Amino acid sequence: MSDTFLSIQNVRKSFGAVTVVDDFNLDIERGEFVSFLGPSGCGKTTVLRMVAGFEDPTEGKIVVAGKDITRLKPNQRNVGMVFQAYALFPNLTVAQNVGFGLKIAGMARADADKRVAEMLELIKLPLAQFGDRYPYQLSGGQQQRVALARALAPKPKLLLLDEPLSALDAKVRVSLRDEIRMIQRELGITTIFVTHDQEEALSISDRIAVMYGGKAEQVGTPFEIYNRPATKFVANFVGTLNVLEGTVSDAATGKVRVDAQEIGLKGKLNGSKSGETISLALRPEAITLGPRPGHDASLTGEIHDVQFLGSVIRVRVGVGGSRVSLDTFNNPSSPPPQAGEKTTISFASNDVLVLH
Amino acid sequence: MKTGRFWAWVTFILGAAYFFIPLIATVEFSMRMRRGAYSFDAYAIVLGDPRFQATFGYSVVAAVFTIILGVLIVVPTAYWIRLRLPHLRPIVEFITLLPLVIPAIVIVFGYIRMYGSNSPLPFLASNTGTNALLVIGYATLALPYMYRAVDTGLRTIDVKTLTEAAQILGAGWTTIIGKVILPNVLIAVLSGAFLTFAIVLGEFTMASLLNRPAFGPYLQNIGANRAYEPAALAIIAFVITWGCMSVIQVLSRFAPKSSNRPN
Amino acid sequence: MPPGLFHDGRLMTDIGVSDPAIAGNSAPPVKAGSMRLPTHWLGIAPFVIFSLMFLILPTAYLILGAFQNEAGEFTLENLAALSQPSIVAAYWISIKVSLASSLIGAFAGLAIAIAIVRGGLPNWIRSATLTFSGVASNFAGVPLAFAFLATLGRLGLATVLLNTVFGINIYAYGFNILSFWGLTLTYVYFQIPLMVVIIVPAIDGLKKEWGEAAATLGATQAQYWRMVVIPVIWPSFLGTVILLFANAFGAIATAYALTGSSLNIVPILLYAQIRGDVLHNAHLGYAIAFGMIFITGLANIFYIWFRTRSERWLK
Repeated sequence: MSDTFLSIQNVRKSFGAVTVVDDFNLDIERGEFVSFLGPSGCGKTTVLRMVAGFEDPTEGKIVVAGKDITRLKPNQRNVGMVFQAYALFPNLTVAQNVGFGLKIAGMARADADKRVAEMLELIKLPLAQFGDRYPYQLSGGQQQRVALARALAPKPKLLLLDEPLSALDAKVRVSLRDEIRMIQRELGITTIFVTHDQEEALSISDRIAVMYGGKAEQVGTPFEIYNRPATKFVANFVGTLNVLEGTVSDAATGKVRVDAQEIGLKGKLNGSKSGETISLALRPEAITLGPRPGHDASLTGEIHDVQFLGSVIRVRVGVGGSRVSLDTFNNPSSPPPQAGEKTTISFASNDVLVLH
Repeated sequence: MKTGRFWAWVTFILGAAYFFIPLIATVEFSMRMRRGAYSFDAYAIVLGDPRFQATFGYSVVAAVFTIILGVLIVVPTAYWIRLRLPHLRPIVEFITLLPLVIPAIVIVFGYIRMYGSNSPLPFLASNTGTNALLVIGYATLALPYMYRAVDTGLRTIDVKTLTEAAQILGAGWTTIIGKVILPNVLIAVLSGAFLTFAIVLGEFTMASLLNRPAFGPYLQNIGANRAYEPAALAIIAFVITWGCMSVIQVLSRFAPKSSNRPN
Repeated sequence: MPPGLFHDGRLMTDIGVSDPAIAGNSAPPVKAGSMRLPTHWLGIAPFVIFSLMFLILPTAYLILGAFQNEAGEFTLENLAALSQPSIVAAYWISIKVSLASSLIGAFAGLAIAIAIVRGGLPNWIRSATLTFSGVASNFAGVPLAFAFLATLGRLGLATVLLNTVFGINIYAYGFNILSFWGLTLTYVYFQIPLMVVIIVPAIDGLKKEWGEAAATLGATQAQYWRMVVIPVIWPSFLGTVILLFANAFGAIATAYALTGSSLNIVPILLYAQIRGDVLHNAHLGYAIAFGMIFITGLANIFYIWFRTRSERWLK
């Protein structure tokens, strides 16, 4: 990559005998927004904390703009960080919190005041109205925005966001998510965003690193991660997935038997032998009720239940012993299907992910 | 961080030395009674002293009455303040903290002047009255601790919801307090009780000025007249205090862990 | 004591959390009509009567008495009589001992609290220290005096060991357990643990993320302490110092058992006055009591004033 800004190279972190991060490599471009996605304990926060300087890597190095910062102290790294629990200084007003880094940097009072006003404008908490408030006088969402402004005020090279939305309620979470992304684009700041929420990661990121067991399972754009998961873990962790057990009946022609029905998956079996049991994974939105142009595989089953979710109707169909979830759009002029009806589902063989 | 830990150890060790040397010295001193050999003679003499038994017994009884009086005053008040009169809370809290500002000697001085034999309420005219006044005085001293313990206990159980739930199920006030609130704050009440016990047992000022045959004045008297027994008594008192605090700690493990608290 | 002092212990954890039970704008359904007021007030009637009769009125009685002569007329003579040298000396030494023991206790207690909470010491040290502090803060009075006599008295273990092992005769250097420093050193034994017990929760309330946020913003450890930690802990700390001061100022048992009446502190003077009217003026006793309340009260008023002035962020 031509414009690598942050490079995490062969980083390993052990606490005693426990290895939390193992041989982690990632290059991030200038201005890129990268999410670390994974379940708790996967090492995502540890990597972030090593970038911030709160943990020393056991091995490997971290390079920012061509300079090795692995051994620098946190206060020499010029990174901005936002925490899950806001971590605003309770004894300082909003304006003082935002101006904290500027004061430390020794910026002239007038310049600092101007910068604080600018930052508060950016997060839509105008100085005149909010500048003199104390953190306890703000809602969670407002506190987190102030924390963001505080982190950005000294113009850091990197912005690190450690689950910044997890403590907020659903509505605020979505709106602040959009706001963070907008501000990040506007400032063009290289950003790492740690989250366990796949929807968050998919909606906000340029690229996602899905982490599991201290390793990056897959790094890619949200589209790639969702549609071309590289491993079983990624496929399962990101999005809803239907998994059908099948038996390869003829490896040469790509025939697979699922519950006494046969479908053709030519070119998808890469190397499976006849008689082998494999898992077929399908996203709900890849399946339709009834045939559709381009869908070259179909299975019959019985509708098990129907959930009306507003614009979308989620239907679960029993195929043999398995249940398959699929989404259809709500159509005001035709009633949704009924549980107990026999039905056929179809999908494109190309959309099937074969998991070994 | 390395130097931080070094200084933490230094601080801790200096502190530990300051706190343990007097204890060790006292133990050592208490065992010096028999010339040339360590012995528990001082302890045997103290524990065998009928005045020790009498005054200790008196103080234990006084402590028990103090706890009962304290519970009767504090529990309903703290409950009611949480439930119905939250706006009075700052005032009540202020009053409960007053005994930390007004020295015990001043309070008891007030009692002596206000409740003397010639006053309209002559507590001091009779033995029983004076005993009662001592218990009342102790309850006053214990007020800050008792109120704080009970109020903390109430805070963790969300009194309002529990009361309303009980009311919906048709419970009357006695049932609510006796069967719903009290069991839930029992641990807190007991913690307060043992703290009260520790404070009251060796209390000197009030007992002495009211001329009660309590443990505190006995201790002082022994201290003025004997050499080794006071050290033994100090160790006994320390062990009793330790016992009370250990009970409180054990109790706190059984306290309700605020399962349904909305905050 | 300062209202809300006990809250300081859990102050940090409670910031931004309003207590639903006291927010109370959704009052529970009450029986309507005339029954309402009496039942409301009946609930705290025992408390009100008790605190009036046995706390507030007796104190008020003494305060009024301080401004009256034998005939019950208003006078300032009792207060003026406090200026006699022996009484002034008593107040002065009391203030000195209380101030010294509360400041030493406060700083040493703070240092220990920081060491066990933030010093990276093993976990058992923290819990052992807290348990011990709970015990030691309540180990005051007569037995404490005995312990210090056994340690630093003329025949005390520390005195003897210092003399025989190191050749230092502390009494030859002017130390005396029955003196200002002896008493102060003894008081510190319950002052330090009291500080530890109250201040540890406040230090626990300092969130780790504050330090990390400050570090990412470029602050050194010293800057973080100056701009965040000290301002945040300060109100709890000051409140506790005031509590320690009052605690020492009113204490009598330890001093009395330690020194008899050889060290003339105010509570001992008042004690002697109550027992035998040594000043030959009953109303002068009231004035002494008033003076004690006045000093502890003043300390608290200063604290409240300071707190409302500079700590707007505390709500």
